[in-house]
Amino acid sequence: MRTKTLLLTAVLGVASIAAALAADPVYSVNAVGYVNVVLKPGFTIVANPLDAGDNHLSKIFPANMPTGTTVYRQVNSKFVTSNFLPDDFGVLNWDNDWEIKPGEGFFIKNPTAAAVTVTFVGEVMQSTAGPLANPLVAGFNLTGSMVPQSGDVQAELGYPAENGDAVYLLGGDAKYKISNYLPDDFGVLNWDIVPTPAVGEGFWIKSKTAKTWNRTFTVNP
Amino acid sequence: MFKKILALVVLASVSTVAFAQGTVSFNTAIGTIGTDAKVLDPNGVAVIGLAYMAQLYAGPGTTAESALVAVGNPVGFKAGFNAGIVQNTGTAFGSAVDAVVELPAATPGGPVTLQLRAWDSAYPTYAAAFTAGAASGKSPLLALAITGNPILPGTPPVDLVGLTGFTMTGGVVVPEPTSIALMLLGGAALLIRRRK
Repeated sequence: MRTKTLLLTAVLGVASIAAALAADPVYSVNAVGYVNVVLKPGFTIVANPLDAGDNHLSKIFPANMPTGTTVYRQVNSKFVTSNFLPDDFGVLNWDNDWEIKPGEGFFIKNPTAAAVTVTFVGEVMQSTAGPLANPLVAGFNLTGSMVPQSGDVQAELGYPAENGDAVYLLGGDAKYKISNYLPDDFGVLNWDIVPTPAVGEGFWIKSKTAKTWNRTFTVNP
Repeated sequence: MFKKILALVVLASVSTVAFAQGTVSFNTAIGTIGTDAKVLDPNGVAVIGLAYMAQLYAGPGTTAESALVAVGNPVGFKAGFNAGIVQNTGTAFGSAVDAVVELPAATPGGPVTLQLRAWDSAYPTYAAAFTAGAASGKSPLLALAITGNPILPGTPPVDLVGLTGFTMTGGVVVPEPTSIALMLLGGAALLIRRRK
């Protein structure tokens, strides 16, 4: 009798859990994925679109990058470089294995005559513990979206544009396309050309003031 | 023979580097350069559309005004709130407007002297309009210590901070309504005096 009661209780318990799971689905908080970015011959501005956990160059780029690939990072208004070259043991390595987190833009030079596709793998950054903060200085910032999303920098990517700001996208012809946020002919603040960077594309933002580009972004409902 | 070809290739590369062009952003709006550099017609009215052309003139380092050369393509003017501000998108006079202007003979990122000139678009160049006595004008010279460096990984085009607007002269000046009224009154007074 006691055994039957226990068995019945156990079955009911399992059924209840199953019913609860069916009625209220559980989502994973984390979202992982990959993003392919094409590096054309010469220079491309890139922004790491995913958080790989360990975001050092040796982790976010594959080991089969072309020899002589160079990353140019802007530090205190000057460029510093890291080269993918054979080390003292003849092993290809980054001579400055920097950590480059999502939201930071950088130039990368593909030294070959052919386009190279790199795959970023990692977690989509989300604002579960508050907005994702990308601090910007007054003046030029080499930057990018902290999440893997393309679209209007202000309307879709949440950039807090102010009068006089500008976005500089590097075109395939190696020339900049400038988008200015200024009053239009009716006196309303607008972009003269709406800047729409692609996923993983870095760009310059000229900010009138020092501010933080806060982003609220979640993958799951 | 091979050595000669190699030497030529090396020389050509060196020349390319030596004559690489700096860049500026051709935008004269207050939000970009700190103060509107508006262009006014001889009547003091901010110009709009394609009735007038505007173009940048430039020279490397400290260049005399007479030695500045035209750079980029001529553009027209915006309208409404932005009347008097140069056009920086769309098309003008048969060409696409390029807001990034390259500066010939300027070293990349180096200093440059600039001037904004505007003139009656019935004339193809500033010089032609000026010589004909048509409406034309120019800004004071603007010296920029640095320009954009297009040699990648370069720096973006530099804004024309410090550029000031101007009023064109020449052409047919249309009297203002108050001036016309004063002239009519003067004429009437003369007629009355003669009759007396």
